[in-house]
Amino acid sequence: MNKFAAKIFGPIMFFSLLIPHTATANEIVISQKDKQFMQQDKLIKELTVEPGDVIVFKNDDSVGHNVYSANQKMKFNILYQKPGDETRLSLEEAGASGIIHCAIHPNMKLKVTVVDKKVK
Amino acid sequence: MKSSVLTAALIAFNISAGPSQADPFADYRKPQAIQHPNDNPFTLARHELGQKLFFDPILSGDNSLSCASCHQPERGFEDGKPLAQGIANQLVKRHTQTLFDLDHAVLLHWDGRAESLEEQALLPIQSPEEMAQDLRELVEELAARPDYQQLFAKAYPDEDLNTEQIAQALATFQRSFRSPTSPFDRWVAGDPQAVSQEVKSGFQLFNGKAKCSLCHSGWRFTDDSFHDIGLASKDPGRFALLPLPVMRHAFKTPSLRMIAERAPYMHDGSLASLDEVIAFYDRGGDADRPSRSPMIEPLQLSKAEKQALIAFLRSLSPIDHHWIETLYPEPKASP
Repeated sequence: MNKFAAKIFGPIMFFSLLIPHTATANEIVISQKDKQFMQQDKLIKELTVEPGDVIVFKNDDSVGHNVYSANQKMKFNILYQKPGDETRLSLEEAGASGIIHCAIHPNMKLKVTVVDKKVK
Repeated sequence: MKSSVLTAALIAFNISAGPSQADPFADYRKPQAIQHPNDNPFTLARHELGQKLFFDPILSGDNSLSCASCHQPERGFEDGKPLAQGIANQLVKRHTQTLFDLDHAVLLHWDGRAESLEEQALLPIQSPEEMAQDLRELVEELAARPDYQQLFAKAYPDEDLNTEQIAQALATFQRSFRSPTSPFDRWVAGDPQAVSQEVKSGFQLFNGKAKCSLCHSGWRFTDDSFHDIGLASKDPGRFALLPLPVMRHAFKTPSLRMIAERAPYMHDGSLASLDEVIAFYDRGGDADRPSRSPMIEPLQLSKAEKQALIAFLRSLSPIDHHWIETLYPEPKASP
């Protein structure tokens, strides 16, 4: 197994997939549409969240997607999403930052940073 | 008037993903200008150097093969063989890929291993099964040749000849391979007579019932995506680089430009003709495994529909072959 493989299959420490949905968390809906990441119908390239926020990855496309991140502090793979599927993801560690990709469509990239706004 | 009728007709069927719903042809019209990256801007000297290198067998270890030995312009930059053939007739494990419209490409090679044309250019040169060239030896060979001394000095004044320059020059030249004008291009530019009714029907099927445009979208006829389409091949594909379950046996969606001249097809060259390709997709692929894209499923195409799809694919070939003459460094030079 190469180095990259070890990274992706390494311990998953800083996120959790939330099923079922946690009612109290702040939810940010990121849509996958026209093979791009969109927020409220606008193209989005960077996103800042707070620890515990829930990102809802929603496939609003006519094709399947597979969102993942291989960054050291932000490793996850939400697996294949059919059109219409939704997956919730919570990022816990303040300071973590990484590029989220679609494995199928390499042009789809979203930089996500977790910032604890209570810490000055 | 005629173009608005065409537009209205196209709105009636499902054009795949794209923000420009008002003009369904917009995504299918190609830009003529070539995009060059900031870290390798276009210069004529780099282009001319890359042009000479591309057709020169000096790039291979035994000076028997050039880039153009496999990437033959008249075959849509492919070679007509199921698998590419490296030096000493070694079989490469995958089919030669086309080089059209790569200035817009995202990730190169069937498995996406190269992030840029500059990175890609040196990989087949060094690969033991392809051109098997030691880069230090190549630099020495080129530096000993007066014609190359001159070309490198013009492209890179005041710099010693190095491998990065070779990669940049090859990338600059290859970036210039805009797909030549086809009947399809003339049609989307507004000439309703440029293609037959069968081609127009095939284009409707391509965007609708046959679902081709879910991946082969836009003027390059690829969205640069990776899928396991269910070929019998055991090749791990992109999974070797990106080990996620969905990437098992996944390969890059190729452009369909000049596809009629690019047989045989697929990463393993296992399908001999466009008829075989359409039949493959129509039956929903061959290998039934978890990684196979759920988008691959039986299409129930009639014989006439299959023929229309093939007529449409043939409309992506050039109107004439004058474009080839402009590629070669000297008139009547052969690759």
